Amino acid sequence: MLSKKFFIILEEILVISIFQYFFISVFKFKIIPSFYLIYLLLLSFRKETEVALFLCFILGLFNDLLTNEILGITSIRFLLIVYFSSFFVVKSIKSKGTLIFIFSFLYFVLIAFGKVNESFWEGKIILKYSVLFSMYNFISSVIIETLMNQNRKKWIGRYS
Amino acid sequence: MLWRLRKELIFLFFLILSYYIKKNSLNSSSYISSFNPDTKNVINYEEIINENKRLREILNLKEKRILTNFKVAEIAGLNPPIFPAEIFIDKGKKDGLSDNDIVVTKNIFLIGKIEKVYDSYSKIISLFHKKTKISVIVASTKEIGIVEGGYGPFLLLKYIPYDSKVKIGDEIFTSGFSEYYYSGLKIGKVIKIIKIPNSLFLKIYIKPYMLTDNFKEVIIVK
Repeated sequence: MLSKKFFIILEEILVISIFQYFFISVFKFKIIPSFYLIYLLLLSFRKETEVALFLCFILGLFNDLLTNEILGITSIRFLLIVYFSSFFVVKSIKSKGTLIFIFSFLYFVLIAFGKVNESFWEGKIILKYSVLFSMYNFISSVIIETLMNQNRKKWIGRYS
Repeated sequence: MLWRLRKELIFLFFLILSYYIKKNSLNSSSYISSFNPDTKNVINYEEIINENKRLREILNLKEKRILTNFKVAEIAGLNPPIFPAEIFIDKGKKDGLSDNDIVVTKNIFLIGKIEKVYDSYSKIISLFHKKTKISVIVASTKEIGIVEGGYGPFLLLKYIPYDSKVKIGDEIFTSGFSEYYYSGLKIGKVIKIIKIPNSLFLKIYIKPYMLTDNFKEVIIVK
């Protein structure tokens, strides 16, 4: 049972990492969705909080390596967001999407606070990019949630 | 009891671990060297020739007695990469640098001052940094104001009287009344003047010169 869950999560992480790497290396937009954040939030909403918190640490470090950020900073952000999101019990895609929008917004504000001394991080710009980032994440979350559901159904079908 | 708090315990454990990694990664020189293209094993002869040329120009400053006591450092990192508020250089305490040393370009355009000196590298806060507040003088009118950072890509000049004769293109220099900056260092030129009704002062935007210079080596004035 445990090993099955391990393989499900491993498969999902691989797919999410490919998505994330593809977006970071191919699209040169200022803002791209954070698939890791979406995945961790979705795990947390599924009440798999302990796994989500552990993955926050691992995926955070991996994300820092991908984006050349200070090692550990994304893990801290992920941990804070996922911990607070774990207090919400949601089941429908609609409410998950709404919460992902809110937590993505908070996540972006958290990034902006870390860069508050940098010249271009002013109130209006932070607001604009936070909303844009949250919108991207909201849309991506619907796709990821559907993929996750399909993947888990496939695993259940294979071993039942 | 502990099992009930497992979520909180896992959260705290990884939070502390991440913080520890972050702290170590900031202190280690690998983060700084990751910015530095020189760490890559590539010989670019054109770049070496250009570097030689730039260093000769800096050497001229000493020969012409424009600057006598200074150090030259290479830029190791810019944060953010455009209109940088923080600049990391490859010289530190070991090279005789100290906190609050002034940093200029090879054409003596003010970049900022050293905020923190580490053993082998230093962090500069540039004119674009929000913390930057420098007393300046308008060359044409001799009026004194304060230049503030945090308005990238420009700087904001404050406290110039509403009826001032300042005009677009006027040059701005340090006044010498700031705690750390000498007088006469070039900062930039006026590019926009906004008159706000019922205000005592003008709102003036400055385009800093620091970005117009080749941004590879900097001079630390002692």
